[in-house]
Amino acid sequence: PRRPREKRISLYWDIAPTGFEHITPMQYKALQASGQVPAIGPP
Amino acid sequence: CSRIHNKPTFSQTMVMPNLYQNPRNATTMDPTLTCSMTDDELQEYYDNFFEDVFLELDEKYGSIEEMNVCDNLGDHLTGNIYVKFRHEEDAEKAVTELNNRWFGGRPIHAELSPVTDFREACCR
Repeated sequence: PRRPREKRISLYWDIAPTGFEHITPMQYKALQASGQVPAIGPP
Repeated sequence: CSRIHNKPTFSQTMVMPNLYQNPRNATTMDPTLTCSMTDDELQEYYDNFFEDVFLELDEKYGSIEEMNVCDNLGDHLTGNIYVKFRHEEDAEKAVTELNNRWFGGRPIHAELSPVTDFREACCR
């Protein structure tokens, strides 16, 4: 049986790319679309 | 398959393309991951990922009926996450809000998907 677990701090949710914490995800996607940042980048 | 899929205006299901990054996939950019993970470690990594995503979506946006993570290597399918909500409104709200959230250092792309039955969701 699966034991109930406490909700942990997420490793992923709302973690912005380093150096881009000040812009929104929508703005970042616009930068990706215009080629100013890589389409798939490292965290 | 032409890969030109119609994007529905209303759907219970949404898709977040390329969100799951398999550590064994050479295109993974996350430096904390290595390809030397054992099968058990890989399974644990996947389980944690699944739980993290499922709980957050279920709690924030509404009850989930089914969630699937693609782990194959087709360009258009790699790491795609399909989430079928119980209610269409929840899927719509999730898409709108998720498009303005980060996930693991990347922006989330979310859109509604026409898939309603995952067993029939084969591209023909």
